[in-house]
Amino acid sequence: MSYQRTKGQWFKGRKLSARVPRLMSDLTDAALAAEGDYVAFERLFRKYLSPVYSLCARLSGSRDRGAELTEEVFVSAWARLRQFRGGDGFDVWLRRLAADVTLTKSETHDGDAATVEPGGESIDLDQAVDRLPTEARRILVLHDVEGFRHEDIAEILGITPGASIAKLRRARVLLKESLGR
Amino acid sequence: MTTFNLTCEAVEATLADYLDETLEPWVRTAIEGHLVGCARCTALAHELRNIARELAALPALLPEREIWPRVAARIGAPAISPEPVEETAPLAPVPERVVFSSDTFLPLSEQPGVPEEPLVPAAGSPVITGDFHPLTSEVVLTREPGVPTRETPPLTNEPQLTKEPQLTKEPPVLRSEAASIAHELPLPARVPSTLADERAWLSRTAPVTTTAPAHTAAARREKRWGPLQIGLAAAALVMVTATTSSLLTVRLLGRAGTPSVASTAGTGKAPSSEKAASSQNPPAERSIRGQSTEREPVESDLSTPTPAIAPALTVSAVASPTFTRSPEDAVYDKEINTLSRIVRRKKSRLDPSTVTVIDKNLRALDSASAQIGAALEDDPSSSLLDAQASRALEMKVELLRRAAMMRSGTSL
Repeated sequence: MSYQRTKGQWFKGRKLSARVPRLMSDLTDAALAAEGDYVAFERLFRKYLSPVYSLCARLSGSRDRGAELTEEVFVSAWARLRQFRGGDGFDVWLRRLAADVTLTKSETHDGDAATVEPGGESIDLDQAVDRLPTEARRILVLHDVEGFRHEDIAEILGITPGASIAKLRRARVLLKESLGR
Repeated sequence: MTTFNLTCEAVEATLADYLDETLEPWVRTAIEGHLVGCARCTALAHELRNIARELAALPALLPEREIWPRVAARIGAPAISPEPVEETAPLAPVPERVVFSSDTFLPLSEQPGVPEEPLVPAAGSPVITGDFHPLTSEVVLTREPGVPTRETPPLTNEPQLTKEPQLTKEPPVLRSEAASIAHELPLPARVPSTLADERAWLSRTAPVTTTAPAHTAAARREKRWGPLQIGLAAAALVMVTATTSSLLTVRLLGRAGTPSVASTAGTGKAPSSEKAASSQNPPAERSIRGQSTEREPVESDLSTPTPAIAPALTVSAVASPTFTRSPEDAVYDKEINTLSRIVRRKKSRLDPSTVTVIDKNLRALDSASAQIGAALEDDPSSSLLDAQASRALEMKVELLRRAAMMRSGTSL
């Protein structure tokens, strides 16, 4: 026996579960970042840049606007990290924050709602989503692309879950028309 | 049975809900009945289902321009990272003392194959020696450096033996810690959701119960472990591991050709061969003397009184010369060390009673980890021990993380 490898040393050389390190990294980095660790926050930024940008760009219907909103989301995340308590995980917290920030910041920009152009040219799915009216696009992106539940969408948009279901139904039909199918 | 004849318009209106499987069973049955006989609605359902699948499978996007510099400027991050990202984590400290309860060990007289030859640790190897405390029935194991030889590099060259500041100053005490944790930490009725809850939860004292109370649905959904849960789990882990360790100790003692533990029993006198070995390697071994002249079976239940008769043991340990570090090891090292740093910094800002509970839980976890580690080195293929090892690490990281994220401000 080699008892000297106790207290944190004994596991060296063992094949440990790869699941645990994957699970713990985010929350540890969040804790570090909440204490002012920029390196930890940059790690989180790099890891979640693509998911956050995807959500912001699709929700806003613009790639350029999505980049601006992504910046806002991470700046806001830095400011609010001390409020993060773990919960369902950092990714869930950040995605919800991204949705909130995008919708709040987009209110002044969404006066020019896109219009559906049924049939005609062949466009890809992303383009078709971008061309949906603002409300339909938001519901569709949050539910069908990002996987938010109707209860969460209702909270984010300030509507009822029933309204969210009805709007999603309408958005899907609009998207089908937009795709010319 | 009543059947409903739905119109195409009615089906179209509910098709999205049908695809989301949110309809009542009888409505769903009615729609399916309609779809069987309506090619148009069937095609529409097929199309909507495909669109939903494609939406869910849309690829992630990447911005065309770099965003971090602007974010970094706005949050005040320095242009150059204040400290480099560590590729290899600093090594955790080695405890100076580890204490085992005497009932961790089995009487040697009952073990077949106990080597008769003296067990001499390799020259230069660090040796764990121990003292038996008859009043507390605990064995205190102490690491001592071996005698360096030309063949063996000095211990100071082994990075894993480098001492670092300890989060807990006191050595882990298996029996007393497990008992104290078990009595101090009641099984929680729910997971605290606010800082106030967490503090109250931490400071609560109640006798431990053998059956867990019914947890609320919210608590069951909670994925994170609280310090109390971790403390309880650590206590349980200690108890289970004590049993496992004793069994593995038996196997080790009975294994010929792996002389890492020697013992003399009954009379309290070492045989002449062992005396010779001791004289050849005086710093490497120290006898652990019991007061007994006979042996009793070991009780694995920590709640039972410690046997009045304890065997005399001589425990020595030989260091494994090399370790192959896996990527997971580095991650664990890094997580534990970084979180420990945060917790150390935060201690002054936390409530003293909270700090006390956290420290106790950490010591209990370290004690459990020490036993699992020792057992694993004897039986590396044990899936039970492997699972316990991972669990102990998970709990320690979770406890440290919870402690690191405790703050005096408002809760989320």
